[in-house]
Amino acid sequence: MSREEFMKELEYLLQDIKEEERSDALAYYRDYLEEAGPENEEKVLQEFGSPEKVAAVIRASISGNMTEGGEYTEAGYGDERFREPGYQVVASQNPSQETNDRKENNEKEIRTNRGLKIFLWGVLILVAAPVIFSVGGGIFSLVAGIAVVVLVMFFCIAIFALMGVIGGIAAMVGGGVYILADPLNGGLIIGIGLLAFGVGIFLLLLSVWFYGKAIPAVVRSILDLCNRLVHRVRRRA
Amino acid sequence: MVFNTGAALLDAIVLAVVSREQEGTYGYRITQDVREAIDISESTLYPVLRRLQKEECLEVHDMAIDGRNRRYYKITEKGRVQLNLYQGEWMVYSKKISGILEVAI
Repeated sequence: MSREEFMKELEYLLQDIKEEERSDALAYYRDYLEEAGPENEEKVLQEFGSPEKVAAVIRASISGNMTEGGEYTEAGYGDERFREPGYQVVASQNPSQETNDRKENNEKEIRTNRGLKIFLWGVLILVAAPVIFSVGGGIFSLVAGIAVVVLVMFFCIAIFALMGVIGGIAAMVGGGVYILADPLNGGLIIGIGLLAFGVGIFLLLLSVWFYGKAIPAVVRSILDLCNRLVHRVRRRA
Repeated sequence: MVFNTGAALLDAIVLAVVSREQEGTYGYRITQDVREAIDISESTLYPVLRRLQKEECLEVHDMAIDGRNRRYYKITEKGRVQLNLYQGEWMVYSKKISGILEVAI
């Protein structure tokens, strides 16, 4: 490497340090090579080492790292941090540290995977929310509507049943009284009363079945479904 | 040399070398003078000179030589005080070491 190449390289490597520091350092090394003269140039450049090494030493001296760490050995100034090649200022890591780092990296990777999954689920739910809520809402209101209709229907059935039973009994009693005055109409009323009583009993049984068995069964199955959903989510997690 | 030179001793040597020149001296010559005593590489002294300058033990001035500027280093008052301290310390230290090593002969 020639003197010009060395200086150009050094200037390039120091372009991000303070202007004053850079021009000082460059002036020093330029001067030095000038004073050494052409006859010593090659030897001096060889002793300088690579421009990268010289740049690293200059940087370290600027950041105040030179006061400790270096020693002037029989082989000249020696500093573990600037040994060629790989004179980086940071001391090289020992292997165990490296494996530790790798282990940590792995753990981090797993953690990011889980975190990523949760994050993606969140994004999916957020993005799908309008669809889920409109479609889900539609289905929910449909189900709720049917449930309300069924409930109202059975409520009416129960009322009809009570009315049938009470009305049937009343009609039979009234018919029984009326039969003395007008046997034909009285018999008709008693018949209607019996019919109403029968229908009332039937509806009452239906109501009893509905309120006693169907509703508990539906509630139970809904609870069961929820339970199963929660369990499956838990198992997946 | 089998004995390593610490930063303080190098500082002392550099200050002593610079103080010998009334008008100051320049990087290349300082390096060559220091090399008479201890073996250092050509690129060693820039950080040392820079630090001594920052600590105001050395002052610099540029002088035009052969149509270009040459940076001269000159010792300051503070530098002389520091050098005196180093000299005193070195006398004590080297005497003790010599005493022990010579007895062993």
